[in-house]
Amino acid sequence: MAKAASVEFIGVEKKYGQVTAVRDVSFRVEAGTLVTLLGPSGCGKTTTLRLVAGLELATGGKIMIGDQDVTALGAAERDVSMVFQSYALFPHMSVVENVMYGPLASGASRKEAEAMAREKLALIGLSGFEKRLPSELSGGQQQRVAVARAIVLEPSVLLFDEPLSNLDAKLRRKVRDDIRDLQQRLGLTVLYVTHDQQEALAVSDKVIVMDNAVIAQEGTPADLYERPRTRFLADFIGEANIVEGRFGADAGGVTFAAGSTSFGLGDIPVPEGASAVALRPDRIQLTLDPAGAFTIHRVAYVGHAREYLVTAPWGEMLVIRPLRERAIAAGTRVSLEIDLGAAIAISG
Amino acid sequence: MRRRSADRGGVELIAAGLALVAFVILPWSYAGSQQSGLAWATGGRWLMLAPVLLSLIAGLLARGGPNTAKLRIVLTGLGLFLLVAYAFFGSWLDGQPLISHGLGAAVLAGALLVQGTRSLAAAGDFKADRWVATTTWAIVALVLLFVFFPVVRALASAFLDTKGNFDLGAFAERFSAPEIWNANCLVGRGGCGVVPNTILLGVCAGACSTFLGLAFALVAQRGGLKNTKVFDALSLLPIITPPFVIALALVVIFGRTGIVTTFLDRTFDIPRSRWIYGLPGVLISQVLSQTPLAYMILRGALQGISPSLEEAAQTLRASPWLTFRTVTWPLLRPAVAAAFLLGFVESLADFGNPLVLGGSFEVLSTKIYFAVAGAQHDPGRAASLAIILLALTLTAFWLQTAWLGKKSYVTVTGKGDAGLPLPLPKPLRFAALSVVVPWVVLTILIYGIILVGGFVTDIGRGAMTPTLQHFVTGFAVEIDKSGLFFSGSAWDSFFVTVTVAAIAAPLTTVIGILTAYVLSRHNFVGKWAFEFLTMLSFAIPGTVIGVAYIIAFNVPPVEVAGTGLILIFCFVFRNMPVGVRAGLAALSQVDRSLDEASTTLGARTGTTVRRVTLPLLKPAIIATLVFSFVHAMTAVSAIIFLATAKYNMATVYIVNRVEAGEYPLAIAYSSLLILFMLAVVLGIQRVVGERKIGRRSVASPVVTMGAH
Ligand SMILES: Nc1ncnc2c1ncn2[C@@H]1O[C@H](COP(=O)(O)OP(=O)(O)O)[C@@H](O)[C@H]1O
Ligand SMILES: [Mg+2]
Repeated sequence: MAKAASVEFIGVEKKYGQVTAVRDVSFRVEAGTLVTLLGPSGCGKTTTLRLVAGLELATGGKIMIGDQDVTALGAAERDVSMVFQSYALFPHMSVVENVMYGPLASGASRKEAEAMAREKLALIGLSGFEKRLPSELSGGQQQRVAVARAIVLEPSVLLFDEPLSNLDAKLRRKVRDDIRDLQQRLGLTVLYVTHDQQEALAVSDKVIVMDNAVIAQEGTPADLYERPRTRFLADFIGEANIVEGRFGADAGGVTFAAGSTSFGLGDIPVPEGASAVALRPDRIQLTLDPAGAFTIHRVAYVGHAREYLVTAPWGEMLVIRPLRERAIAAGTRVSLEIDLGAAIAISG
Repeated sequence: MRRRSADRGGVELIAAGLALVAFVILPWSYAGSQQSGLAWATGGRWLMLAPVLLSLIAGLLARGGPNTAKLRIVLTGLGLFLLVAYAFFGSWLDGQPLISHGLGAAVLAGALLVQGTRSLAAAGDFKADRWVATTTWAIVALVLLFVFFPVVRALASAFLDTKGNFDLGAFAERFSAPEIWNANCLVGRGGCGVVPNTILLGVCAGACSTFLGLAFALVAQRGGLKNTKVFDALSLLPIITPPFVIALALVVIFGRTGIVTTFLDRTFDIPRSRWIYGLPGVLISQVLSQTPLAYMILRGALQGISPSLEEAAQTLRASPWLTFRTVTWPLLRPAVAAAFLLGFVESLADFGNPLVLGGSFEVLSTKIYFAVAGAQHDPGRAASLAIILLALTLTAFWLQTAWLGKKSYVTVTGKGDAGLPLPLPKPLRFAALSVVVPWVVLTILIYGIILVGGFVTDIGRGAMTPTLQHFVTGFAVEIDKSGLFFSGSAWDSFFVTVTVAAIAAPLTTVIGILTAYVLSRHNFVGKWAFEFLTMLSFAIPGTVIGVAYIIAFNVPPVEVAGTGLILIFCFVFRNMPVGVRAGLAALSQVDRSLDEASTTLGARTGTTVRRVTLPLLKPAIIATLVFSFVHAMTAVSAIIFLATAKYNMATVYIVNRVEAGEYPLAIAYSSLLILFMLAVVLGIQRVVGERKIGRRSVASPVVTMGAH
């Protein structure tokens, strides 16, 4: 689909009375990519999405779609479609009528509209369900109808608001992959909202993490996982042990001292003002050491690995080790070693 | 192991004991003789002994627990059957005249009912739940006695000749009278019969009030107005306004000597006429009183349309107008039809407005009234007319369930998006506002007249000298040696009304809410019949109930006509469906697992209801209390048949003043009633407060139904 366009926010702000739902947000979604807005509930993701759709108008800043400034355009005038969290299927129309709605509203004849609708229904695998009412479909099928309805006009931007939240856990992974597949097959520009970090990492070309109405950090999934800049990000994306301490340097690279314990971290970047490290639980080695400063507090077998809760002088730490390593019993004294280059220096 | 106490039949034994004591000591009848049941029996009515003996035997057998359950069902069932059979058909059995039944009989019947239903539960019916069994059957018995029996009895009198013998010919003659069916007006020759009149009025009133209600709902919900309080106030009005009051105000404004008429006459030389009497006047007053109802239905429907549907349409490039036409309106249509049908039914049931404004334009409800109350006193004819009115009403309700039941859409939503509703397209907003504003002005004018009218000499003739004379006539209070003396002529009816309303309201609430509980939480054989029975009186116009009560309860075995008791029964069973509806609505919000949780924790059903369900039902209970109290104070159609000089009601007193041409006093009394009820409703609303849900605030559910 050649029509896919980029989306750009330049210093966008949205206020509801006293509440600022989105503050000074700038980002860019390249044409043909899938970008997720990720963040805890209430951080302003849905508002951002609705600003792209034109369902809300910005109270400050500028929104571009392709080369067009759409800041002041309403939803019906933007070439953007949306898949709603509740799907918002028209309950009084059959499946095919739902999908035909867009073409008809844009002035297509019934015949053209129906042909377009049937094509898209076939594309998402719902041929044969044309005459049913939405209430006669399962949740997953309803969602696919909503997707077909949204792509039938071949919009330059397609929006998803928490598309998996009304599906049961088993379906989620499949629907997630289907959406990614569709996006790549048709070369769509997709902006996708979720509060689930795994979902975001799995589907995105780029992830924009929001916190409290502003963008906390953006980057590829790998960027965000490996180089979170703040404690919030390290904690929010993946699991992390946050340890406060002081950075130093020696011949081997960066060192880190937490209380009386000191670690060599290897050659990692340490930003100005960094005061803690984030340690991913699977990047820490445990060694039996009767004189070690750490004690295994609890061991849990979780199928694909063992999880250790380790008592450290500064608190508890989570360590995950593969099953092929020998199990260590609770109560055993150990020493810790951090994989070189795996620790992440963070601020705040 | 269930922690429920084992049933040792204690309750049954106590019930049997009470029955025996009541039979021996309490007066058997309500009116007339004060003899006990035993005295009647030993006085030659030996058949009356059977039920009490059966009750005693069953009570003793109850010790045996479930083993004797089947036998006890047979015994108590037989006992109840004999009691009822002797009460209604005793004269065929022993040739003696029927006697009136009262407290003694009620206790015995109640005891048999409790024994029988507990035995049913012991035998495994009602999932072995004794409490539900008794409640269900008690409600059935009451509804049969106070709704089903009088209606059937009264309607049957359409088939009786003046001597009380069955005569199909008499029915055919009454039923086919040209004054009923004649449709000359449709072809432009003279007046119509009462049925075409009624249908014409109903259709017009339904259509107009729906149209106006829709305009109001659109403006209130989507009009972009900051303050919609005035609409909420408007929706309160029909609840607290006695039905004929609007007609009264219309006469004062547009009657021959009315304010506007006089003004037009003096200023523009437009001659005075009596146009307001007849179809136009009745229609306007009905539309005025029904519009708020249509407004509430349609506003609720508008609120129920998920905003994301309209947003979805917008993202699919639909303009606001197209969105309204293809999404909002189709989803609103079932509610529009519902509002129309309800308006139609309300118009059929309305009695006060046609009485005051009808003139020579007769409708079924007034015709029924005059057939009974007029000089002709012809219950047979009243009954035939009632059959027609009932048939029309039931047809409308049937249409509603059969047709609308299928038409309403299941909106499929999981977790919601909280979107913004679409503002009205500009032309539509303009059109709606241009309907709404004049109507609001007219409404304000009407209530202004009512409030001012009581304080001037005669507003209906333009005599505007301020005076308190009318209030003195109606509500004077004197103080003498013996204390306060309420010498005003209206006080009696006011006190009776408040007393009756205050007694009826809690009873209505208990029965209504219990019924809702049974309906929503328990399944049993014949539940649909139970549901139909309890909703029956909702579909029966007040005039029909009034005729039915006066015909059926004027003679033994249940002889309560002319007492205060009949007023209470009438209100309780007429308003009960409102409690049922409110209760059902509230219960459907409450997850069943909540009370199942309580039950599995070992609580009995009764405890579950008290501890878990009742607190959750509080809003519904309060709404029902308020509604039934207020409705008991404003109703007129049924009660006008039942009020007497001794037990007069406020509305009936006012109607009588209107018929005697004493408008100022009628207006003064009406304004007092409206203010009194406003105080009651607002007072309770203040105490209960508003519930906040999500981002929108939702007013506590005030149950609505027109008063007639
Ligand atoms: N229509 C509205 N009026 C007032 N406040 C709103 C409205 N919509 C959203 N907000 C507020 O803006 C903030 C962000 O909301 P939202 O974008 O829905 O969050 P998210 O989708 O990330 O959970 C919240 O604090 C919310 O309460
Ligand atoms: Mg959201």
